[in-house]
Amino acid sequence: MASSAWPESATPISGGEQRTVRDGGNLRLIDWIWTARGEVPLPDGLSADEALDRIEPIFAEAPRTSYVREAGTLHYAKKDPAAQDTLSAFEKGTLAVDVGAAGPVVRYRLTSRILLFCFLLPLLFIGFGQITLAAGEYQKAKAEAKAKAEPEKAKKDEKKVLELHPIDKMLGAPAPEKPKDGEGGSRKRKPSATAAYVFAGFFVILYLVGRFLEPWLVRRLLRRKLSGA
Amino acid sequence: MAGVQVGNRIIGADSPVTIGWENVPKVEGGPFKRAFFTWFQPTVLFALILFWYYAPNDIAKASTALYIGIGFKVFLLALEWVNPRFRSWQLTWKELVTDLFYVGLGYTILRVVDSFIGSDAIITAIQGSFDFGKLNWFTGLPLLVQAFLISFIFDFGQYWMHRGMHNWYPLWLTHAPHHYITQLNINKGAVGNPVELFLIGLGIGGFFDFLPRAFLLAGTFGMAVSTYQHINVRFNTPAWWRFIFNTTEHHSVHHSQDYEASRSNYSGTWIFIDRIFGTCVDGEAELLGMEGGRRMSIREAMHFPFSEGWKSIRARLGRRTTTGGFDDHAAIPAE
Repeated sequence: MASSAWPESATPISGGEQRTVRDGGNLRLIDWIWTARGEVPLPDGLSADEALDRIEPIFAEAPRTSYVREAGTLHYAKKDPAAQDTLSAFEKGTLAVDVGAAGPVVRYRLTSRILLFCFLLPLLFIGFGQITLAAGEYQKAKAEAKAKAEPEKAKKDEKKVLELHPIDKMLGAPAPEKPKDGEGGSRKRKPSATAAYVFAGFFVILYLVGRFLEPWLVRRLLRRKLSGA
Repeated sequence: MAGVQVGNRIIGADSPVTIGWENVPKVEGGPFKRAFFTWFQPTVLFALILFWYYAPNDIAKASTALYIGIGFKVFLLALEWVNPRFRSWQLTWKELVTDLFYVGLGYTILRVVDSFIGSDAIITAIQGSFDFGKLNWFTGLPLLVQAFLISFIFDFGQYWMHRGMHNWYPLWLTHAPHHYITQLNINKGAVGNPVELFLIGLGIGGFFDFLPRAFLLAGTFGMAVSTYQHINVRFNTPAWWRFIFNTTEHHSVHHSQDYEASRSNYSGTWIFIDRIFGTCVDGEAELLGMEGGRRMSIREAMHFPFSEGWKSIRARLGRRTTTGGFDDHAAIPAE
């Protein structure tokens, strides 16, 4: 479903700066979190148009991708890209043929919502951990108040000693443990923020992996396309 | 597309679905690889049952089950790379982050919500109000029978909740985001709107008392059977297993882009429940999802039931307004 219709959300670079990729302005200090920048050298003798001709199929053949080419520059935007789309992590971007230090290059700037989301996820999960602890405190206080109000009922809830079926005894399954003093009848686990903190840690690692892996995959894809592979 | 008649229905008319086990491809490769992917599933199931049956009490704990579950999932992720069912379902970094986000919700904030309004909290409140404890009808039964009952009672409820989601629009709105997944991977079972994850977790098992070890044995069915629903691994699953248990083949049919195929294989563990009620379709599908395979973003999955529900209410109210508000009389033409 490729089209040359320019998406409203991505404005083309105007005027004399058409062959440069926007630098992100004041956001530059933090936009490395969700932005991949780089350049790939053009093979010898390849013109700007030929280079973009080789890159264009990446966008023309991808579903739910719109793009526009103008004066040595290609802008694209993706809406709900397919899971197997080679650029699914980068929903918007600009690629332009430019002059690099050692000759012509394709310079690119791609932005990724999932990288930003993954960067923020550890904070979200630390927040979940705090909520878990607060909820646990609230429930504990409520249970204590209830136990004080109805001491006889709490005594009645004491756990019975359970026994195995004769078949299980014969087969040698360990007998159930007798409930320890003060255990009561509750099977409820103590609220813990550990799971939330473990997930926060996972997302820190995943962010670091993604921040290097995804730009590397983009670079590899562009190199392959430009070399005609 | 012609499709294939299964019972009274035509399956595969909208999107390709392979029907019949004889048409599903087998594991390819050397003798070791074929033997491994033939015997892996039953070996793990029986090994885990033996482990939980005989493990000493200080090992047979929920925390042990948690660590085994995590280790098993990591191993299955590795198997997805070794022997994928479809290359088009290969896990990417973005898919992994997305899946783990939903898994994380289930282990954290949804657990907190569940502790306030989940089925166990509701059942405890009912028992408190009517002053009765747990029903100990089953505690005298053999451990494996208790384990089967725990698993079956939950799955039977889940079958009807899931079938209800596919047949009643308000429930469907909560379940629809899960059907926008376009590939199956080990953690995809967690992907969906949190309201659905809450609803599908409701069960009546909390009314009954069971031996703690029976819960761990029941969890084995969840881990060593249900986990395979959303896995991208090609197995030569034995025929008896496919007859009793849900498999990734069954579940890929359920997630197919074909409308009729998606209205089948509702159970989570025991596919024979679908066989009893005539909703089982044996086969597999590669093209999954909704709207031709549009992958729904996390943001949309979070608001979909509410935004779509609101749109539907507005459309319904709008229709009423254009036909004269709440007056059912037909409008009289001006001429």
